[in-house]
Amino acid sequence: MGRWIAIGTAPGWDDITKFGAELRETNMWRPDAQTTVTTVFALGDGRLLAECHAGKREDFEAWLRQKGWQVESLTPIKHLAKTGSVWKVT
Amino acid sequence: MAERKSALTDEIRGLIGVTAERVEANLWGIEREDLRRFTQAIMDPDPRYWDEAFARTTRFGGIVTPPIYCTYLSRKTPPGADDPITRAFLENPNSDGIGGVERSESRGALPPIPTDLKRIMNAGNEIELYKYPTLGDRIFSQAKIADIKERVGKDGSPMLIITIETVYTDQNGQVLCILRASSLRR
Amino acid sequence: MVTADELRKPPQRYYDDVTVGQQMPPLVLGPMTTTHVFRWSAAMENWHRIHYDQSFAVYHDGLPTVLIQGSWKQSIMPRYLKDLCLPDGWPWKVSFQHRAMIVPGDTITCWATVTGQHETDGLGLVDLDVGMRLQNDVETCPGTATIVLPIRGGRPVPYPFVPPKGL
Repeated sequence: MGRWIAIGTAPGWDDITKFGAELRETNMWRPDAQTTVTTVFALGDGRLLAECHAGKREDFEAWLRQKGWQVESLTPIKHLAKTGSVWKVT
Repeated sequence: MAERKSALTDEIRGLIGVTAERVEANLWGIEREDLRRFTQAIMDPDPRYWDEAFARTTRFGGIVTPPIYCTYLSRKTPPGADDPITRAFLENPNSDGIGGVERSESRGALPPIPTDLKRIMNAGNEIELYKYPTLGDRIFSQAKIADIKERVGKDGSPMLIITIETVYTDQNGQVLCILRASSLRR
Repeated sequence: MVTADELRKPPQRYYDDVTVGQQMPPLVLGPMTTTHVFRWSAAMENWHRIHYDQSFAVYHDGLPTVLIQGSWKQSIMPRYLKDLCLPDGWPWKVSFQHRAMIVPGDTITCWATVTGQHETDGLGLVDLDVGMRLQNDVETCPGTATIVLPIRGGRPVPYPFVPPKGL
């Protein structure tokens, strides 16, 4: 199980209605039982940042393609700090 | 061809039928406030659980509780016990929250299964219902290792299926419900 | 969601009126939220972090988000059968497997289909296939059940329940 951050753009996702429609239901964020897009940020400069947990990098790439993303970078997460906890990821 | 060692050893097979002591689930039995919180958490507004005048007109003759409500009572921390949450995180700052609780539950416990198969997965549940307890009833449970079977996985590796049967009774020995939980060890 | 008043005097379902293949009326719960999950953990004193601590669920257990508790699911199935039998039938037994997880955002439909029926010792036994299906058609809890429904003109279903002789 790996974790990656994708940075890129997707047409119309700076509009919150379209953004919500693409991502609203948690279960729709799961291409399969293991693969989940846990967080997506729509940044002020029009770029998107998505965090994905997947069995293989190719699973995340397939989701990005299906959602029409122009991917600028796709990078594994090394470690993170969140709400008081520190997690070593890879 | 090398023979695969069976996971169902004579020692493990000898545990089938082992029964733990009958223990009381909690200090105070069935009471209103805990019952209210439970029925709201399962989103069942059935007035048989709270409307005394109506419940008296039903076949139950009074207030009753949801089907397996009585099976959850022993999971609560009894008064006077060490704080299990504080203990869990003192032992392990990255605790999953329940480590400290599991250690304290030794009453009515069954012997552990002496196997190297450490991965545990839920393999199914069975419920049999006979009577719903009512307010003031005391709840008792008794667990038994009902069965242990061996199965072979697709890769030829041995697996054990262990079924624990727990019988819940009231202060009169009336059977309330029976739960069977099967787990897969691989 | 069913109401308290609907449960006071539901029309009795009789053994005579049931047919093999019949679909029982479903029970729909949800959409489930993190608040529903928190309420159950609090009522149960279940402190497992995978049910209320999002970071722990995701980064420690590799889950997509916090999970609905298996112990909650275990009460919903017999509760559904209880409703089908009211007022004078009895939800005798059910067995099921936990197949797929349920997460906040999911809507659950409890369903039952009659697979068989037989009169034994004056009691009307009805066998069911049961489950809890999500809005994306994933079956989370497939199982089977036997409920006991009164037979018109027959003896009352005993309470406390006594299984029919021979079973």
